[in-house]
Amino acid sequence: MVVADVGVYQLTGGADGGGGSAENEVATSTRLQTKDQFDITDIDFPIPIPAAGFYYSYWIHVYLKIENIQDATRINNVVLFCDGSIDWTFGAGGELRVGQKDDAGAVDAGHGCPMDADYDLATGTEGTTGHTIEDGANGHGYYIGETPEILDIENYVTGARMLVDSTNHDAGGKCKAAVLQVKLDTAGNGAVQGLQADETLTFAYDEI
Amino acid sequence: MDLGYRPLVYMWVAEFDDGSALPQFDPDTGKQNRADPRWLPEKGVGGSEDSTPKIFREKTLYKFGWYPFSKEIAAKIPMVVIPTRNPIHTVELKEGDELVACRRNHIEFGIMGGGYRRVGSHYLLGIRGGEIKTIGEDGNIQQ
Repeated sequence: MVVADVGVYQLTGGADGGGGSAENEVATSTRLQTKDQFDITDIDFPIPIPAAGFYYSYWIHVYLKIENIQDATRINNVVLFCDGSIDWTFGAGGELRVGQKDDAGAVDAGHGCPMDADYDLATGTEGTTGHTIEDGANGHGYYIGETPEILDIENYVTGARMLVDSTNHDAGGKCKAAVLQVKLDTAGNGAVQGLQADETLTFAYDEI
Repeated sequence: MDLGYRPLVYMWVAEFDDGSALPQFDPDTGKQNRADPRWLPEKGVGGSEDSTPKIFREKTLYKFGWYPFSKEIAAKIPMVVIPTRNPIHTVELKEGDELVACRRNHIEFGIMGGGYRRVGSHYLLGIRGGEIKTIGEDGNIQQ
């Protein structure tokens, strides 16, 4: 092997700031649900449609992990983007959102959450709703108080990618994580319960 | 089977102003020579200055290129590389020019279903502050 071996991973469990207790490779897909777990086959924790207001999935930490940098010298400029349209029936006010740092933080470091130091265990009411990333009391500690704290992932497309991690990685290890969460509106605003369409996101990174 | 990387279709060759050259892969052994991290398009945060191999600290680049693999060298490299008839892409550097070159990798993963796929890599080449070419795995310049 001569080039770096890099994969997509998700961390769950554990405790705030201490890293998760379960790391899983996203070998095909991940699932946003109302429970802190990585289980793409478990459909027992969907996000119910709220009678009023919004419900949310538990947030997830998804990141690139440099399994082995091999003979590559450096990896940096980790970015994330989508095709511009998440075709889910989450209603007019719904979205697939991603945690944001304010401009100063983003320029220096990107919008990703440093792993494992700033990992924040996803919480909420299982089977009903997760706490929002921006919840002042129960939200994600790395993003609370940022301006903005979240953005719809549809803002990030191939021509306008979200910088996740600007760190120069000269060895193996975890890159910063994108923190993702689904927001679901009411049926009156167009939300429809059911299995959602396959969607993909893309990580890109530079290697030399 | 996920190799953990996209198969390479180009290798770099750095030429110096003293007439010497360094290829990414040794043509006799297939061993990879380490690149200069200063070639990355983004400067990035942190990292070690010691990461720059000695040869790039001591010599001056005057030409750099992405070259397709021949069948002969591909057979010596201990990873999956694909010989092609892709065009060669090179850039010449004048005094003070800073090279930009890297492989930009893409990994697509599913959310609520959808698959996992290593999308085609791009090979970047240019001079910092000038035009940076993005070369696809088919050898064509991407728009």
